[in-house]
Amino acid sequence: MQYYRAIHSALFFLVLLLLFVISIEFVSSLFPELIFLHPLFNKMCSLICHQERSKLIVIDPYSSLVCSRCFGIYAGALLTAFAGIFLPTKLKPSFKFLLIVFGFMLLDVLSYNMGIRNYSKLFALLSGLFFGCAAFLYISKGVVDFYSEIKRS
Amino acid sequence: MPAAVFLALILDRKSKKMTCILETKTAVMIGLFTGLYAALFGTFFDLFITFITKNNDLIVLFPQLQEMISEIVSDTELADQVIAIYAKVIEDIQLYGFSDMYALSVFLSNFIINLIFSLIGALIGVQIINSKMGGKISG
Repeated sequence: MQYYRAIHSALFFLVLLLLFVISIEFVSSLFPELIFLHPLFNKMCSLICHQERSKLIVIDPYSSLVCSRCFGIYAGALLTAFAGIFLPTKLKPSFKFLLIVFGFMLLDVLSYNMGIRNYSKLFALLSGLFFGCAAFLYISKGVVDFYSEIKRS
Repeated sequence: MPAAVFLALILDRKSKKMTCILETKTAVMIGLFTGLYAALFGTFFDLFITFITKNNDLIVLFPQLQEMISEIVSDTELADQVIAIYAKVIEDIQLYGFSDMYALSVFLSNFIINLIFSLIGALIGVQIINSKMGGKISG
């Protein structure tokens, strides 16, 4: 349990770093000098997201470097990592939960692409958030297993 | 990238005719090598195309980027400095087809992102593969 918390703390800071990268414009409103990192971070985010202008989270004039769904995924991972540090019991990954939230996300993507409804940043953010939570549990379990294997050998 | 690592894990097992449980550390090593290879190949490909065409998405998006930076940075001197960095990179690419700063940023971004996502692919992939070995994915 002790190293489970330590691993969650480490993952929490890694995800926080990733959120810092995608929120560099918001952060640079407080620390303008950090705008120098914008070119590098923008290039990094272009590898993981389509960055379509209309789908970004915008707080005028600042915007995230990834779309609402991707932002939700990282935010979900951050929340789960945070919960893992403080909850008294271990969080276990659930394949059913992963399938349900993936289905919800797929439904959101398909209904928009088929023209059934308009793009909703809130829905995209929420579907990403839940998926991020479910997927993060697998990643953290993988890291815990990896650490246990190294410790054994 | 995670899908590429998953495929690499399956191919590795098939080539070695393995039927036992896959160790996470083996998966992580395969993931790291896949990520590293993708980063090097991606960087080379990006720089090679830029060198041949003397053009890339940065040049195309520069006017929008200039406008956006002027909007978000209230300090005009700072905004000018950032725009000057972009302008220098673009000038080098248009003249020589290569910019050291662009090359460094492409390499760093490819390296960091590919390694992170290949590790994620390995950690999730190993659990999916092991679940098919008679075990069950947790939950």
